[in-house]
Amino acid sequence: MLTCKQVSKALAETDYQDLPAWKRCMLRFHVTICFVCGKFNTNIMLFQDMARAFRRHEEDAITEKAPEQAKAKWARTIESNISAKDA
Amino acid sequence: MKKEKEQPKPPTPPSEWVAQYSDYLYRYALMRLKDPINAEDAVQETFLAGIKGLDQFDGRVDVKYWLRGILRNKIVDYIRKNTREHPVNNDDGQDIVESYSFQMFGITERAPKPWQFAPEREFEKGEFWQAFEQCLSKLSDTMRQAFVLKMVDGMDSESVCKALNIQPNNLWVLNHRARAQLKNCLESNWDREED
Repeated sequence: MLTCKQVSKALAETDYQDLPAWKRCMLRFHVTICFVCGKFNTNIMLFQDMARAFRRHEEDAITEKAPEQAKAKWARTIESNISAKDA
Repeated sequence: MKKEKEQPKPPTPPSEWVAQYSDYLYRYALMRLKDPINAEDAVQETFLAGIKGLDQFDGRVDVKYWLRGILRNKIVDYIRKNTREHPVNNDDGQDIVESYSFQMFGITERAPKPWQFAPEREFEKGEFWQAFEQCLSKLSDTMRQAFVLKMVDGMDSESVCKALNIQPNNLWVLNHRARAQLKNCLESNWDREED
């Protein structure tokens, strides 16, 4: 059985989804029944879920495009560096 | 049965990087650095490092994620440099980590207030993430960086502490405060949009 402190420490170090299955089960069980740390640590797990979902969203959604001026500058830099490398 | 070995895909040529990846990389940098000029510079340096290191590209991941890896290191370097110039007060939040409930249970309060809505039901909505990013940008720089590096980018605590030049307890306090402020902000912003 995990103690509250062990649960809190594990959650401070790692995303609970990355823990081994047995530890994840023990942790879930603990926060579900624990009246001391349950609500607090469930909230941390919710934020870990949120951060993971945001990471997925960030990969798929381009909500902000790079300025055209910057793109032109990058293209010039790349071009001159490729030719310098090839030379 | 003999499994055919998958051939690594040839990398996208650098001449196509701007068209294919620059929007993604720029947004990634802007979300973490907040400043458009720094974000532009970070992307520029990433492309340069990418061209230099292209010979070492082994095709195990897509070029997009390979470049993102380089960009993340650039961002961490930038943050490290910045926190050396403007150090964070490490004594802030000492009362929290010295409290009985933190020492005994690793928590600050037994029962934080319940959420006014269930955020996990909103994860598929693009508007929710807009609100999330707005709330994130309202946090102080150090708090935002602590939250993003640790929670979103999944860096280990030791590396985050090194980048931000802070103690592990301080990282815990920063993340605790970031969660509390994000929750408050999301509750006030998101409810309005829903009703």
